[in-house]
Amino acid sequence: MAHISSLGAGIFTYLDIFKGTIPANTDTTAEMAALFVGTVDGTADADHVRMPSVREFPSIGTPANIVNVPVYGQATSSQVQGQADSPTLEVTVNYVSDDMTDMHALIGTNCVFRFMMVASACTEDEGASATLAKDNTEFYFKGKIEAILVNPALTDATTATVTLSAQSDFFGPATIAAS
Amino acid sequence: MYDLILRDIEEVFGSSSWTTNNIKTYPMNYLGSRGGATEYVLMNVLPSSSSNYAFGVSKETNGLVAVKIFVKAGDGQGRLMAIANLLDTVLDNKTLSNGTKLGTSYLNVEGLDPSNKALYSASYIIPFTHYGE
Repeated sequence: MAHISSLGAGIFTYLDIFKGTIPANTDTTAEMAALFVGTVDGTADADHVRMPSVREFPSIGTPANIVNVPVYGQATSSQVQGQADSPTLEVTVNYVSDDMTDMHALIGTNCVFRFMMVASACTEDEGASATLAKDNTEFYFKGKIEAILVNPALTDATTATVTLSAQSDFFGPATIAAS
Repeated sequence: MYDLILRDIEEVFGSSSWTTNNIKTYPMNYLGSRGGATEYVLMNVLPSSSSNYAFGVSKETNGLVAVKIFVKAGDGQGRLMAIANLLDTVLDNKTLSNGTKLGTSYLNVEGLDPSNKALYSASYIIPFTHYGE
């Protein structure tokens, strides 16, 4: 295990997508992590794509939904964790039409997403290995790209808001084992 | 990256669309003779700030291109404005070959040159943004 072990800016954060056929009963961290390993270890497959030029990430993880439970004999109610609403998953990207063609083609397709934080730059091929010689932390979830809204700007780069939907729990934090 | 920005701007001033105007153009920090010219421009590239525009280290550099315009004193402002118009035709809102993107220009009229009262001057300023290394 090689989680990130020091505090720092999350510059090397990536959103990788597995767009191939998702085997039935893929519902563990290890099973999801295995989808991101290339057929040739260390080489990304055609089913592996990376969200290009991400400008802003949403919060990733399962949010709380605290429910108050009245209890006789107590001055204050107790609280329990109820089923939480999925977080809003909107990724802002710098929009270069040519780079985003793959993403437009994925709208509505079931995918597995990997939110990956690394201590230093990590290429798609490096991320397609079963081991990684850089500290790293991942969250996985099943979902879809639901919409891509383009935001032209007069004085700044054109951006797009990519809206994802979550179709499973969030799995993680996990890490790719050290090589 | 800084050299690419400078090269982009220098290419503009070396292009036929600018040289056809027959306005002598010098880079800033040029110490050679200007031959007593009473009409010329000084070109200056001023990178000023930078930031990451995307995760994964993608650097954006911002700054200004400042072109100091000198014309003969005593003949009004007309020639100054005309030269600024010519600069606009080659710079305003242009994207250059190495990716330097120029914005919209403005002009600061500065009056008689303190070091040579025979010259009247203005600074033509245009912001630029360059994405990538």
